[in-house]
Amino acid sequence: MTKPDIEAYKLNKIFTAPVGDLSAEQQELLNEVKATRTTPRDNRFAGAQNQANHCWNRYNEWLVCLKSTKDEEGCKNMRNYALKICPSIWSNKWDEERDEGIYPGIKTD
Amino acid sequence: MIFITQCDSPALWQTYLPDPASITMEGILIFNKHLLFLLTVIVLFVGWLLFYTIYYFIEYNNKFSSKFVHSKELEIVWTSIPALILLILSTPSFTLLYAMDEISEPELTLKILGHQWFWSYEISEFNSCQKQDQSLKYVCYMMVLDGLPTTKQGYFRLLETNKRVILPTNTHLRLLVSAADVLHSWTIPSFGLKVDACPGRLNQVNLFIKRIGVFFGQCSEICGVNHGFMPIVIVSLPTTQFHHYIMTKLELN
Repeated sequence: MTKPDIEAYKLNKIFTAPVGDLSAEQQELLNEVKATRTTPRDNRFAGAQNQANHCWNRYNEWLVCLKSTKDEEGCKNMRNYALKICPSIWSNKWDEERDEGIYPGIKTD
Repeated sequence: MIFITQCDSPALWQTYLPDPASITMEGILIFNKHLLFLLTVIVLFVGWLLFYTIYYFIEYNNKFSSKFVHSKELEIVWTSIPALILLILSTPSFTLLYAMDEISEPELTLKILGHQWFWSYEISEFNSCQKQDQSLKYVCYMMVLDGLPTTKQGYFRLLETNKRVILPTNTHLRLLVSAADVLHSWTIPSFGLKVDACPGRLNQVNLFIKRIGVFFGQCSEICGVNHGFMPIVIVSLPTTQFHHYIMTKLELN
């Protein structure tokens, strides 16, 4: 019975193996992935363990931006900040409520 | 103390804490070791005193009772020495407690939602990459191991899931834990983390994983019939490999 190739299973070797060359668009995507950062801490909610208010606040700040500038692309940053910390079941529910007109927060109409 | 753990899951005949993988857990482990030594010394000392008092001064061994009734000096000594020991213990304890509350700027947010009876995870950072609109989502059900072919052995009973959450090492992470229906609790002993998942609440904890590995945990708040069957599996990869993993996922989508 041949001995198994132990070297192939050594995690150190697997994880430090050099990665193959990437195409230009792959490299661009990789750079984009490396540059992404999450929603920064908000000093108004810094000490709290419960960040539900932070999430609600970010979502409504995006709506305030939409209401004042009416520019969807310009307010995309604010929407991303909100979506990064809000669970999708919450943000999807609020999106639906806004469509139906029963959203309890900032009204953009 | 000899402890043998494999893959940061509970091990057979494990008598002590699991191997640490985060700074918090390392702190807890070191503090626990020092405390355990001090406690052993105190217990042995008190035990010896008790034995000495009973054995040598029992009526059978000691016919003459003492005329020694009280002593102010002795009372001062045996009050102030325990107080001093407690003060000495409190210093590393408070240091650790406040270090756990350290404010750090997170680079990645992992949203964890407890359902009856599985965990679902979301990473939404990469939504804006290449016009993606979907968050990275994992829904992790426990893997049922009965009926697996004999070639697929070696899994941990009641701990394996169909998907494993991938996280980077040496990165400040923010975990936001909530629940979709009833109370759950998300825990990984190797990270020294246990967070309650309350519906309507988004509990935040910071995490900094120091090494690669596969870490297991289980739901820690009674949530119905299958409370014992909703495990958690985290795989931590070096940052470079994590970026490549995300890139592959985005390309596939």
